[in-house]
Amino acid sequence: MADELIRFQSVSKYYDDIPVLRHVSFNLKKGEQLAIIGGSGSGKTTILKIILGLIVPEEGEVFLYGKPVRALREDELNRLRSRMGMVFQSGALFDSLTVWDNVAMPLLEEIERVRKITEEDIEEIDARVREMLGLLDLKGVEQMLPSELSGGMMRRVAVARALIKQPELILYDEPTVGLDPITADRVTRYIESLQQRLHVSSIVVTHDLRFAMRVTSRIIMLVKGRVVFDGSKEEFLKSTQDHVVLFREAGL
Amino acid sequence: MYRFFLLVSDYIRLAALSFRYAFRRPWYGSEIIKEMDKMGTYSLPIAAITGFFTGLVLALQTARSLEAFGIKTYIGQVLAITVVRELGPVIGSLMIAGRVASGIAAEVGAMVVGEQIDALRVMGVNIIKRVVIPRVVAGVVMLPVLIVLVDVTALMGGAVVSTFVLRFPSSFYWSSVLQILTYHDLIMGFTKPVVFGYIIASYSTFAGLRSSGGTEGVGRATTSAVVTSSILIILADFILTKIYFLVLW
Repeated sequence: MADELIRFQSVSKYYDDIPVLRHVSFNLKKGEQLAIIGGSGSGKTTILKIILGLIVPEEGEVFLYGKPVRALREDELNRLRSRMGMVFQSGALFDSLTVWDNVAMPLLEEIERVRKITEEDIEEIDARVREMLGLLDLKGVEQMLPSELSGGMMRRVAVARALIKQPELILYDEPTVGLDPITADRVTRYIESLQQRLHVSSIVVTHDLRFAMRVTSRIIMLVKGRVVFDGSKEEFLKSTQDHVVLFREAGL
Repeated sequence: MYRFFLLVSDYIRLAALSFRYAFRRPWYGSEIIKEMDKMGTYSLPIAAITGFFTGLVLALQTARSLEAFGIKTYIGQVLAITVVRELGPVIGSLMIAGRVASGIAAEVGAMVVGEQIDALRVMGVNIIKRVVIPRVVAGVVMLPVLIVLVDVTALMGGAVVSTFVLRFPSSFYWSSVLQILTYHDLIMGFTKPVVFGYIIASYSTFAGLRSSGGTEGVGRATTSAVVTSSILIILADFILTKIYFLVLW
């Protein structure tokens, strides 16, 4: 239990009385890399938003680091959120800010909450931003605006922003969707190498099975809000369950 | 009906929180200045044009009515009272609401749809402090400044009619304007926009934050921001006028 980061206990979520998640249960342990796969509208992104406390499920209980999310105050939830990073499907970069500002934002916000930002802080943050951008092969784009970047570069900037605070857990929402195959492959390689280098736990939500197979060790498959498969990559490849077979044949 | 009460209670909650958080760190000074620039600088032409033409039309209409009673010379006094107490703040605020409320609701709505609001929350940022308060402060500070411009240009419009149509000397018009205005009129005329600025900025941010359902939802939020802000301004104007008459006169 001590190394358990997330636990979903029979979680259900409805949008306008339409069920999106039905009695979903799973857990994530420290160091684990989990992929949640499924078709569009199967409730994958909803799981990430529930983990982050952005939406609240109608039924069931979610535990973050052993604490029930429902019982947490906003400041307590914020403290737990600061141990996580999230790469949004759209990137969610701020159009009016430069790449540097976007990536540095989580660090700047953290300091600004308690005191004024000093010159030393800026120097330290600058070094970390440049290091993170370097890791993702994004040197020299610090002063560019998101609108001046390609889709793949924007995704990598979003990854850099999610990783800048060195989170214990990183959540990816469809990080390769909408990218051409070559760019998607590059983004996959960066995520793969970051997983190996930084050893962070991760949850990847995707319908790109090839990507899921490369960056994770465990797979959960959702169909219409229900978990139909939860097991290792190897078990997924051997499974004879109808939904898994269909998804595997279409996706690999 | 239940949804309406839910909407009202949510708005009141946001308005109350924006007061509560306004005095706590961080203050996002640069965001406030950016919003003041967007709200103020870009609204200058609309404020000046609205004011000037309102003054022109009001002077023409009033002159006709006053002439019937043989008191055409009171044009400056009538215009000054009407513009400073009522028309300047209300018409100016309604015009500025059209531009500012739609801009704020569309911008914040796009941030919701583009997941930027979620991204801020994930970073532990307080949305009220980061998104709502800078816009509310900008509204409360900039609207009175813009209304001064509306009032001045409206009185200038009146001066044009008074000088070139009614053939009164310009000095006569301006001295009657300055002679009639009291501190009470100025208090009324320049405190109303503070409330209207708060209404425009807080409601349009609220509408933007509530938007859902993609670009269509942003469109709905924008319309709601302009329509509801305008109605709230007219409603607040009535209540404030009643209060001022009870307190000041």
